[in-house]
Amino acid sequence: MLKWKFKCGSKDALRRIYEKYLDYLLTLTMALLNNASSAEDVVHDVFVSFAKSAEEFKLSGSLKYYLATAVCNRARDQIRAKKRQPARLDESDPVISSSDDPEQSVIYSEESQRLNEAVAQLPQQQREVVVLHLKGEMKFREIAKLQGESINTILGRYRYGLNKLRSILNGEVEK
Amino acid sequence: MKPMDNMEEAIKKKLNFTAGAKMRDRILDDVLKAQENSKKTIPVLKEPNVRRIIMKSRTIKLAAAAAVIIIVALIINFQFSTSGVAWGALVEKIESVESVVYRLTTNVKMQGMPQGQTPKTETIAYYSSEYGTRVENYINDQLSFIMYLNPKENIYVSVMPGQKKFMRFTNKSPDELKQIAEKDDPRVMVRHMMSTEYKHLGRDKINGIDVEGIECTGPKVMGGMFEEATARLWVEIGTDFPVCIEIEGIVSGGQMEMSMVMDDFQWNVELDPALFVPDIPPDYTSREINLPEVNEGTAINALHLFAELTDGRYPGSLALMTLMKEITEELTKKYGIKIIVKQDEYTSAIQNILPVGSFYAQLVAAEKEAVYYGDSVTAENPEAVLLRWKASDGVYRVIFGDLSAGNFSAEELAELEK
Repeated sequence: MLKWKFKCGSKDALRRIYEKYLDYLLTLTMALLNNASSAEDVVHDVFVSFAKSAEEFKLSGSLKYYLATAVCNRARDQIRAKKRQPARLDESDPVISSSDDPEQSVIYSEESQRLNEAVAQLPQQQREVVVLHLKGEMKFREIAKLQGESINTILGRYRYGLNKLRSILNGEVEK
Repeated sequence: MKPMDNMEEAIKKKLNFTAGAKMRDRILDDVLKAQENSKKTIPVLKEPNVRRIIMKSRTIKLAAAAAVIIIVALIINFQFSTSGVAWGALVEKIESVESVVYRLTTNVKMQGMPQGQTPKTETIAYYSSEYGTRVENYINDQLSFIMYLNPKENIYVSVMPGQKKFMRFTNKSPDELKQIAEKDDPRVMVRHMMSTEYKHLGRDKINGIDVEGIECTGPKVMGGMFEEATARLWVEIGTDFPVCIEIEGIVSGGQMEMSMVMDDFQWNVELDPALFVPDIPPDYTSREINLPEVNEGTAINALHLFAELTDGRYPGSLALMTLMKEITEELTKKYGIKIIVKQDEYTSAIQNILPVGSFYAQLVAAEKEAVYYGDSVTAENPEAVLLRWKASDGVYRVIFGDLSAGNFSAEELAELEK
């Protein structure tokens, strides 16, 4: 119904889709990029692009996964763009920016920050699989399609990713 | 609990980020502006009467709430009952629906062909009891055609943007068009499933929705489309509205398997009447198509045409999908790669041969004891029974290998079939 109304140009539907998926997409992007400013850019661009796409937008498929896929693709673009840029002095700075005014930026708990920093140390493809499966609630076969790999490769990446996370966090989580 | 479970749970539950209020407003502002600007530059569908939609939505919610109350009442009265869906009332509920939108995804598996090489077909169908039918068909995400069907206005048009063509189907009465429209109407499908023998599948969850299902099997399930088919209907517990219909069909003795999923149902949604008006750009070329009647005569003619195409062989099966596959294979043999540009021949063959499949499907649906022997009888067996069915009490109609036809008693038929 929401999708249909959005396709018909309803502002209210777009607003409700935005409210429904904003934090979901922000969490995914933060987990993929570990940078509040870049995450805001990605989420902003995905929603703006989505808002413009009403005419071409197809009612079929899951809107949640459509948006998650869009976020993942844009996060990859950001990572690629960053790799092309010359190294900057501030690269060792904490990437989750903390603002004096929490209303301005991203709100998170200390535990989220600790987990996210561990996730950020995973190789990009493993990170994508772990994040999209656990936070994006995507099925392995959907992730396999997104990464253009076999489901076994995806399962392997997931397993390696979790093992690495466990070793990074030194079992702190597993009490 | 295993360590891995802890890690998964930790990420699932504790890794969360929330947008601050100002960020939330900042992005939303740009998003709404982007939508507004795109409306100014791109013609979009007519703005629907949102208030009416909301009102209808409220009505649906009220109806759903009422259904929940009824179900709760049932549980209290019949505590041993485990059924969550009022199956008996389902058909009645579906009949009262004014409109429905759904998605149909079709996947084909063919022997010897790696998965993923067959085209992905997706259909978005809009049905309105007031305005008719609109079917958008996408092949590998490209719009293949839009079909408009409105029995009241005598409209039956297919528009193919890729070829800049449209086909207008003529010579059908409003009643016949209504029958054609019903073929893919999910309401008719639900009614059909509920009228056949089915088994309960119990409860499950689809996309987080609690559902309860039933399953039907047999060649009749899809009205003779497949040689063998299984259909599962999943209905939301509480609202009693179908949320998913899964269909699996066998073609050519298992050489091809087709699976179809109908989901993303939106029941009683307000639809813009403009959606149902054929949108044909002025530079598109047209073609009038006369669809043959479906009767014994056109069925015999179809068998004759197929035999001409194959030097005397008849279709191995009259299940519609198998028939289509065989026609395509024969034309591919005949034209090779040129089949791609031989659209007219292909369309003509399909439209003239398919009536025998439709005829057979009607016989099967009417339980007329139809039996077809195309897998063993060819034009070289003029006296062998090719197709037979019960015409009336004690009388069987038979079409022979030479395509002659006659009436016979049950005893005579037994002799003929020896």
